[in-house]
Amino acid sequence: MDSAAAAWAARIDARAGEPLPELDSWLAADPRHTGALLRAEAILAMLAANPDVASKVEVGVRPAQPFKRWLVAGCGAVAAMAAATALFLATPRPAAIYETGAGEVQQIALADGSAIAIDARTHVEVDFGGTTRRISMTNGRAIFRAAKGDDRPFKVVVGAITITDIGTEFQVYDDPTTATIEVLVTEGEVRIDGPGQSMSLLAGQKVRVARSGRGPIRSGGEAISTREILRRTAWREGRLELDGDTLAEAIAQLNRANQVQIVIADPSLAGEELHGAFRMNDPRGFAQAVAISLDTAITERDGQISLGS
Amino acid sequence: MPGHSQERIRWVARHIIPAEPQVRASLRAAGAQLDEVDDLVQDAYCRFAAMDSIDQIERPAAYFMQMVKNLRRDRLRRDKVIQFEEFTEISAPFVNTLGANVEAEIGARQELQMVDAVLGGLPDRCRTIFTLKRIEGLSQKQIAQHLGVSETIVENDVRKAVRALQAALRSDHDEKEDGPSIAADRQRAS
Repeated sequence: MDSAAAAWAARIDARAGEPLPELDSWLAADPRHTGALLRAEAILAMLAANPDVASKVEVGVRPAQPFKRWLVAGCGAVAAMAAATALFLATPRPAAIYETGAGEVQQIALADGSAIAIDARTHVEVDFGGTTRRISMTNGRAIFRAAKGDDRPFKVVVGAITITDIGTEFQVYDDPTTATIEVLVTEGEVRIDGPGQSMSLLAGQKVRVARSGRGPIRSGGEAISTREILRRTAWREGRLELDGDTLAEAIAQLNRANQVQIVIADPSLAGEELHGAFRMNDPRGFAQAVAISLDTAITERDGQISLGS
Repeated sequence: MPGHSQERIRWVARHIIPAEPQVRASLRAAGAQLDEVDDLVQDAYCRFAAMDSIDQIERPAAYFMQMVKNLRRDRLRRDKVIQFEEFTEISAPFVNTLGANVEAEIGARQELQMVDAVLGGLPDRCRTIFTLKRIEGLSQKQIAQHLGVSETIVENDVRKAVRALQAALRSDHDEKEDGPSIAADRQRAS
């Protein structure tokens, strides 16, 4: 296909402006041909470009912070600080406190080799001084990966609930709006203890329990699909994963994470279902992609992006 | 008027082709096989060809990267090949590359050097044809008259040059894992 496309690009260049009926039938023969031709024509344009002009080529990527795996942070100095924390704070003091702001995701490497990815607006305290590796958390969301080979149990305490790790990775979401805690196990197994009751949760399961520990802790977790796990943990990669979510829902998530706010100017767009992955910290990129796919306009003023205006 | 619009071709030449090696390398780093990479890149060009307007794409290289990433995720989901333990790995390389604008700029410079390297590796007549095209802005017909050869010969040389850059774009990342590519060696030598 590339070979044929190269021949057509050369032919089009040779017959500048003349109609080429055979080209139409070649393009019609396979929908991929049109893309192959565009690429070949662009390659020819590159080769034929005046080098003085061509040297001014820019790649359209805006300055951004360097990224580490897991560590996709918000903006500017905060992100740089988060990166520094993750890389150099290998030995936390007893009861080290980590707090994240809007749009900030932190990756903490702990002394025992465990790791925590902390989502925006989350408060986490790490106390590894005693006979347990104890982490307490309030508000927000974090993913814990407990290192094996340390005899002390790895415990996450939220409200009246304690989640004990049995060699694994799991996400804890302390949802202040419903006063519930959602635990999602991505690998291995955890035990969840509340006042007078206990349950275990396996990889691929999630459970939601009352923060107070009152109310039943069910004997088994709800199984969820791999796809759903990917979606629910996408935040640590700085991704917003959409799979049929409405534009309004997506914007609510982005606005929580960013200073730049998106508003929907055309209410008929709010219910549009979206698919795809976006960078959580790039509301402009999101708005542009949405504008293109929904064929609508965007305007930006005073840190507010208006869609459908 | 046959072919794609000049505006679209220039935009792709300026923003998309220079980003292609990086996009391919990211796909490879994310575990995509060579033929899958070809398919995804091909698919992306089809979408660029089909778009009504490219005016709203402020950061085309990032957009390109995002597009193949989405296309790949859709495929993986469709094929249900995501294994549980893979889930933390899948999109990290994409995120990394999207953020690394320094790499992207270096990539663009390398790309220009790649054009020079490709032209430098062509036979003399073919190189002369492109010198006349680039510096003098002559058409294929004028070049044929100037060199005293048939128009078919000029067209054929132009085709060979396009083939050479097509191949360079594909091969660059394939060889990176094992060692430096020929194109990269040429760049260092020059």
